[in-house]
Amino acid sequence: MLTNLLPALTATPLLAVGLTLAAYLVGSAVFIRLGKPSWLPAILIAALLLAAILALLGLPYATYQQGATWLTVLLGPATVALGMPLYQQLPRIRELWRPLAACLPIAAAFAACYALGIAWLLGASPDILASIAAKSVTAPIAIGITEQLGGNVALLMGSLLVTGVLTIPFVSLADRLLRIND
Amino acid sequence: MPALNGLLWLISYWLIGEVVIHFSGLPISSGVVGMLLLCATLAMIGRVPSSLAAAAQPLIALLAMLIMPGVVGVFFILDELAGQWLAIVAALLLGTLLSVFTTLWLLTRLMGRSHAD
Repeated sequence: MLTNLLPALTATPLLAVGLTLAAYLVGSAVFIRLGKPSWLPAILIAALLLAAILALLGLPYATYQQGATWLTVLLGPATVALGMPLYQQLPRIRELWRPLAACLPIAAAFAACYALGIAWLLGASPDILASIAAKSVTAPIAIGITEQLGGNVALLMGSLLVTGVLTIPFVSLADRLLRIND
Repeated sequence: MPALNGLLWLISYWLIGEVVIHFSGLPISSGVVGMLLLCATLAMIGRVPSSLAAAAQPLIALLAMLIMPGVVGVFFILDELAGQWLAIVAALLLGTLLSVFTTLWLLTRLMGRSHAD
């Protein structure tokens, strides 16, 4: 009876979608409870929780991922939706366009080169290089880049998380060292 | 349902992005093409239609949840990455530290110069 339960539940994507929603909501609640620590983002709490649930249920990641496609397919339109805040920020971007235009391409290239250079020097495989190259880009766009490069999206997501978590303390450290006031 | 109207906008722009990439072979994702086209369209209209905002805002708020299935995957590839850990961790730690410094240094120099002009 119990052995047939899991296949029955995973026959539709609803179990995967439901587990994701539940983990996300619980993760967000725990994050707020803990006083929003910058070193432990809500998404990481939720992902740990979800991974634990999958392991407990004995649900293979591939099966889960198949069901969760119902959610991930929305990443396409969600990326397009970023065009709206982009449009709303246009006046500010125009104001700062000169330093931004000069700085962003160089800074973005450096960010990718540093990571790739260090990983390559330490002997990481091409698969890994393709997965971490886009680590400084916002998630939905980085997924697109990684798919184009033939990298592993899961490793990319981990890299994004680590980069995001590290950037905040590093920026304040760099601020102090370079004496920037704003 | 204005949100449905807006969702159709978003899906259409994504599909247009897919068509653009199919014919141009550009190495970017259709979402990015759609995003830029949407931004250009809004700049031409000069405002954000309420139906579009009704669909775009909740979707953007949900982005973190939409990437969760991908994030969870990292816990299931840990075995495959054995032996590469040092390279990955060093690249992420040092790479992030170095790029934060470079970016801020560049920004202060360039901003400083444009203020001085």
